[in-house]
Amino acid sequence: MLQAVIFYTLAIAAVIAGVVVVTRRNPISAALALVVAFFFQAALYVLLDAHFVAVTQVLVYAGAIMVLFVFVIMLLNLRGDQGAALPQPSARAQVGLAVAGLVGTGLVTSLDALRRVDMGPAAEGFGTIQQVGGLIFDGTYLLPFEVASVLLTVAMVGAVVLAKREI
Amino acid sequence: MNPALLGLVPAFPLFGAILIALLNRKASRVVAGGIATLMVSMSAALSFWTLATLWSSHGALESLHHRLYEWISVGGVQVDIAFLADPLTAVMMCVVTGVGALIHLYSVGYMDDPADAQSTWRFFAYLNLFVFAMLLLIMGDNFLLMFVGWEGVGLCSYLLIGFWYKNTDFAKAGKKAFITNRVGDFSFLIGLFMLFWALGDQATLSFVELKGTLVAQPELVGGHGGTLVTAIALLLFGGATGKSAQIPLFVWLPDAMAGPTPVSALIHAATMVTSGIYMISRLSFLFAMAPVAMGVIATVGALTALFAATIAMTQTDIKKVLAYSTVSQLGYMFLGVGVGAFTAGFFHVVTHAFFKALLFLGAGAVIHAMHHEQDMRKMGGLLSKMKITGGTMLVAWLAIIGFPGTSGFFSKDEILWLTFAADPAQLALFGPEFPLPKLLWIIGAITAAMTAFYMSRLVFMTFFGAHRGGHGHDDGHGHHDDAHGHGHGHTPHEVSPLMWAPLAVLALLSLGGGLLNLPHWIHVEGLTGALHHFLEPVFAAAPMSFDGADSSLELPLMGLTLLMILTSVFIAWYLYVRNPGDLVQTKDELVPDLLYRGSLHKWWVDELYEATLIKPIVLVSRQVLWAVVDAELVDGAVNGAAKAMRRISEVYGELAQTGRVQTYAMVLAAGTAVIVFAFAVGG
Amino acid sequence: MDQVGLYPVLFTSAVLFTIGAVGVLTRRNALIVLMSIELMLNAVNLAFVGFARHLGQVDGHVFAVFVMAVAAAEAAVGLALVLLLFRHKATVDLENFTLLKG
Repeated sequence: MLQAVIFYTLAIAAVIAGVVVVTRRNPISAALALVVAFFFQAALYVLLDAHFVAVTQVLVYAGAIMVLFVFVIMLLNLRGDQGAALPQPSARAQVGLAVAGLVGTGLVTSLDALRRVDMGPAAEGFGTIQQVGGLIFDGTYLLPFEVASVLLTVAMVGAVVLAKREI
Repeated sequence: MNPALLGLVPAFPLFGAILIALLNRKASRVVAGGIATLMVSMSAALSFWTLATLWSSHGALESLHHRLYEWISVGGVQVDIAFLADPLTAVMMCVVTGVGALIHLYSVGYMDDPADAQSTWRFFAYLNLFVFAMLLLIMGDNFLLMFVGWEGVGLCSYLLIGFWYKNTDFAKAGKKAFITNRVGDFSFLIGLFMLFWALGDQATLSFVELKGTLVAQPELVGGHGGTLVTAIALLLFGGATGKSAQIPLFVWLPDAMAGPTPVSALIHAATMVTSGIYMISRLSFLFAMAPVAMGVIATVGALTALFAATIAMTQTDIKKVLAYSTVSQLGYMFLGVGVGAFTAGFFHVVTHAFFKALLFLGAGAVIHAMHHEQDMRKMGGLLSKMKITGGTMLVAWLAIIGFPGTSGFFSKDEILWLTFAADPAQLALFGPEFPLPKLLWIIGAITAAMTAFYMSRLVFMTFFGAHRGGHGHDDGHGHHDDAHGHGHGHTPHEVSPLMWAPLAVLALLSLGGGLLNLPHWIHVEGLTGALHHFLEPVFAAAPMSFDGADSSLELPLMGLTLLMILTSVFIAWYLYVRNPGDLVQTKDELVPDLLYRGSLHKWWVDELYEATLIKPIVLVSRQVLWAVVDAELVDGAVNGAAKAMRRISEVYGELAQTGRVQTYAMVLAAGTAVIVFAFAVGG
Repeated sequence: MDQVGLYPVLFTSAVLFTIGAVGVLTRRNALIVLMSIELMLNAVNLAFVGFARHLGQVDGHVFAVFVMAVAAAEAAVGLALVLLLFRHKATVDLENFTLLKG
């Protein structure tokens, strides 16, 4: 029972943080809300016995990616209209809202069949770094893992080449 | 020998082809030719090692097998990139790489025309690629790999026939070879599909597994003599008629002489055209189950041999004579395997590779010396000017006419005798009682006599008598000799050692090749029937009997054939050396005009195909397939779709083509919503 | 977590995904659009982790880690592009960029 209470609390908090992200005018506020959302999600991962993913979430998202965002915002020196409410949504924004709503409705509808699925207790050592690491390095996901490293290198080089004025 | 080395045999020529292609124009004739020759020589060394390993084991080692990796795995069928070297493969490997290496070496000397200097690299790259494909064909341990090689050699043949593609006729000859082969390949594929389908759950493409399955459960393909196995065997043989130039698909081979002469020697005489015989030998266990198909193969082989020989009698282009002679000799080989004498047929493949490659290379040397003159009427008396070439050609001539003691004598004689002695029940084309073997022997013997005549004619016209060329040398082939760099006029000259050395080696092989498989009436320990014993395990699953005739007849029949051959040689000598002046008159008196013109015009087979097959196909393609189906239906549908899209786009573009990324994202999301709802509804 | 089934996890994931989609489709600030994309990726990760827990296989975790790697790459390149856009027009308002028009 306690776990359920914790789960719903965290889930609602994550959703609220998400709503805050998409409704702020000031990008800094949005970014900070995003960090909060990431943290709540990390907590959800812990509840789901995904310890390694939770740690990575905090390190990569809340740490690295958010710093990057905040850094770019500062670099651009954007002045959002502090505190002001969002203007009346344009026609296109209204259509966008409707389409996104459709996607959401579809997703939720398609989940109906899973309403009664229960989860048993997790096995010993489930989701530990040892288990995840073993799966990656015993060969099952070794090639995708190496490809991911190449992708990150390429992205890094690409970002530097794009952003630098002169090389 | 470590079986893993088998993989290197085809790897060397492939590497050579890639290397030369990468170097392209930077590789001169000598560099490209040197690389190509070296690569094939390395393959040859490994091939001889393979042969030695298998031979010295005296049957203890059945075969070498090396699996490189798994290629395709679907359901119960697994196809590997794997090589199998049993005695049959090993002998063929040695022929392909050994003769191939000699021809490569010769080509370095042959391709010295400055007009080709920019493209010799292409020639050697293709040549190496061909050796690679040929090795795949013979070494593949399953049908699929063999088929890759089968198509690969066809491609290389096409590329090399059309090597001088700026000459439209040559390019057309390449196309003709390729398309004619496609007809055969189509039949081969259907046969393969039927075999695969018939095996059902036991389906396999590996030769070894197939052999085991069919020997254990012949009922899968309808049992011995069943309709299904007969159909499969006939369809596979259809593929062989294309590749090995038999009736009805032989028409491409004479035209294939458009390629450089070493190509004719390697591909269109020694190796590729024998792959049909190789395929039937490889599948002997299957063909032995279909006596009707065997009868068809033997009959087609014998008829092709005779038919091609009649054409070769009157041709004046030296390479055309050799081309028809090749078709004729291939017919002999099919006669051999058709009557069930697989070893004899295959023995002839080997000896033919020696002497026919020698004949082509010798002819090439003559053509080279005559500055691309191929008409025998303009030659003559060349023996005194080209002693080495002429001498080796005489050896090849003796071998092909079957002069006693030469390699051709033993192989041809074995085919003829085993044809005569074959059990008629094995060739149940016209029922088990019909004396088909005797009839085929008669055709074979007559062909042997005709072979002796036209080959003697070739040799006498080219090397004996007075020289008829040299004046008013009309340059029909676009290769002017001033550009040739030899600095002297029109007199023919001996070729360089680079070219005559391979000739000498091949001459030795043509002379002594018979030692591989001496007949039983010459008893030499270790040599008598050596090839037969060596190949025995390969053909063990295809037992054939040869007791259809009294064995005391063997030597008298041979004597009879020999007499016919010598008579033919004498007639040729009388006509072309003794009294060349009376030739036209003699011909007019003795030979009916229709026969002569028929032979000269190749019995109008090309014209017949043109009128009955090609014209209608072209007509239907132009008037129906192109004008209606393609232009109206296909183009209409394609253009209509494009037009419809354009209309839609004009409307939609106004609305959605805003250039803003979010509009596009919205369309994307809407699509996602549709898919998600489809999931939600569909469960 | 015996009391909570698979459904609440996936439901949360779906809601977060939808919120992210709303942000991507309606906001004009390029930076916030990028952030919304991160939110969507995270929602997917949550579904991965939920399914992994349900099936008792950690493959889902490995996928989540790969998604993070891709997200990091995407953020780096995306932010570099935003920087370029800003240099070009001194704004990050997507209304001003109609470069995709053919």
